[in-house]
Amino acid sequence: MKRKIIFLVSILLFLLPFITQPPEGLSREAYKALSIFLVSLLWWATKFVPLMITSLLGIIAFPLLGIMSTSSIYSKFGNTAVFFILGSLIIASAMNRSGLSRRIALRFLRYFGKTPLSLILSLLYLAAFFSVFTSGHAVAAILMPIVLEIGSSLYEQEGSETYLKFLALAPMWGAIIGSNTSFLGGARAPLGIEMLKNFTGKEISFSKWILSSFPVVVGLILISTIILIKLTPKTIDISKGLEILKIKNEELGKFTKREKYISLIVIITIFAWIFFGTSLGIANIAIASVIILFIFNLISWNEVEKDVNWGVILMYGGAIVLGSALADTGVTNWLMSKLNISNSILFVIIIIFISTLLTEFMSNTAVVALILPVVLSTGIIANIKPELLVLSVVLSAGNAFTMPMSTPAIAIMSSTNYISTSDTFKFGIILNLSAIALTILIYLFYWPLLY
Amino acid sequence: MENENTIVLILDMKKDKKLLKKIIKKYDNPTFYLVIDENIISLAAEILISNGWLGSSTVDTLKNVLINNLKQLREIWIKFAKSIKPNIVLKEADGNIKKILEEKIATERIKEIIVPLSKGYNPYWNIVKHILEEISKRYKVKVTIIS
Repeated sequence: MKRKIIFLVSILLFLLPFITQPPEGLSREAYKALSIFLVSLLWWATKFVPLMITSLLGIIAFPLLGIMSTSSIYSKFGNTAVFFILGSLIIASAMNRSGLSRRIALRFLRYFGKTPLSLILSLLYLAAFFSVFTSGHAVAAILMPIVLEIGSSLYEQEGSETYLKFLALAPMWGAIIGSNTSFLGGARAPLGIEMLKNFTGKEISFSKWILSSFPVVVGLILISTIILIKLTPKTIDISKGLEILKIKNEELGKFTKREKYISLIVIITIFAWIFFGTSLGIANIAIASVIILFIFNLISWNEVEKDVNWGVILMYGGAIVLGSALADTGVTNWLMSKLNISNSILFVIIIIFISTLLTEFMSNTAVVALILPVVLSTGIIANIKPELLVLSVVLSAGNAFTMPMSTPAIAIMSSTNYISTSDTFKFGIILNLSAIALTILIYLFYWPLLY
Repeated sequence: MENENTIVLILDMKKDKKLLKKIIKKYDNPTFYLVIDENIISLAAEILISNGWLGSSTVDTLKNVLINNLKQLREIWIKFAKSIKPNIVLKEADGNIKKILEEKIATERIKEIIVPLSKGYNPYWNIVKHILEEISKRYKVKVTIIS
């Protein structure tokens, strides 16, 4: 029934430009583009079809409705962001396949997680650290089995439920918070940067992004630390869990050649992204590293194929196409003319709130794809620096803490059954409000120093 | 005597003393089936990562981890249930949940399936509920969810 309604509404939205006159100030082409945008919004929000298929709709609808040429649409698809994401996914796959990620995780936890509280805090910091270099989703997937291995040793202990809850919440929060640090934590930032470049010709470098996001990340990690210190049961006996960690560490064996070479390539790649990202291009560096990985047989295509959901590449490409089409047809300018912005600070506060709210119900990349084109056009006219708009939307879209359907990091950790939806919601609201407050403060006092 | 017309389907193996006592009190010695269906866990794992860029290898990893965990939880659940009602009738089953239920319905004239369930996000249940809906319609079996 629900699907039928969505389908009917979609048909209606599609037909709207053909059966009604465009609103004042909007051309016929822009009206058609707006209708595709609204259908995409509906499909992304309701998951009427898989997210990537919604993106494909945009790609074919623009040429078919005569809004833009086929060659123009498909040329936008092959952009830098898509190739950067592709490269970083393959590098992450190599790290996981070699066992490097698991080795770092187990060593870190064995070394730092010696008491009930330090083990939980170690999971928080480890997840945040990992998410600087690899996607937050992957971090949750790497750490969840370790969480279950430790957790299972506590099942028969009286009163272990509260401890198990924080055992799952800590890495979940770490993965979400840390994924905002760099371009590697998720596709949001590369997508935002690509849109910034399309709209203004400006860019934010890899290192400048880290500098910009750092206060929000550190602030949220501090708040999470305080919550965990206050609420984690400290008297629980985790000796069996520590024993499991010890055994798992011993099972790792020696640092293999494959792990050593992959570590070296990852370090060099990150160094290149930080210091030569602007001159060489972050996508070029990522793809060069991928080629090196294959030259030295450090990863096989068979492994890469299984490690990546290739459909998401379609989604990111489609999102950029949609954003560009909205700008090129004048939809964003029209929307801007309808929004009367008298106060630029209030405008930024509103977009931070909206991005944070929407990201709890839909994919965070979809939030960036839908909001940023409008926000960029509107904000630029209101004399707000476009870099600050990108940072405000992208960082807020990354702060999905409450609903399991918003990000795989929450869904994966929820599948342990250690946390309930009310747990993620209750603490998620605290973290969401803290993130909003931090982003506003940083927008007002810190980012103006950088841009 | 066992009440073969009613079965209780335990899916998430969560220990809930209140819920278990409620079922024991309300129903006349039903049989408790503790079922682990690998295919449904695999589908649930796909749902878990559906919003992201993780591939099929992660689905396999998550599936295996979740199955192992459920098996361990099942053993603990059995101990827990026996501590509440020593003569509780328990049956462990691994495999296709639909086939298992259809077989029971055919051989044991099941009239009601009770499913204890904790509220909240549960992709496993989101899949099983469609199976139960179908079974309920096809075989005229009552499905009762207790939470």
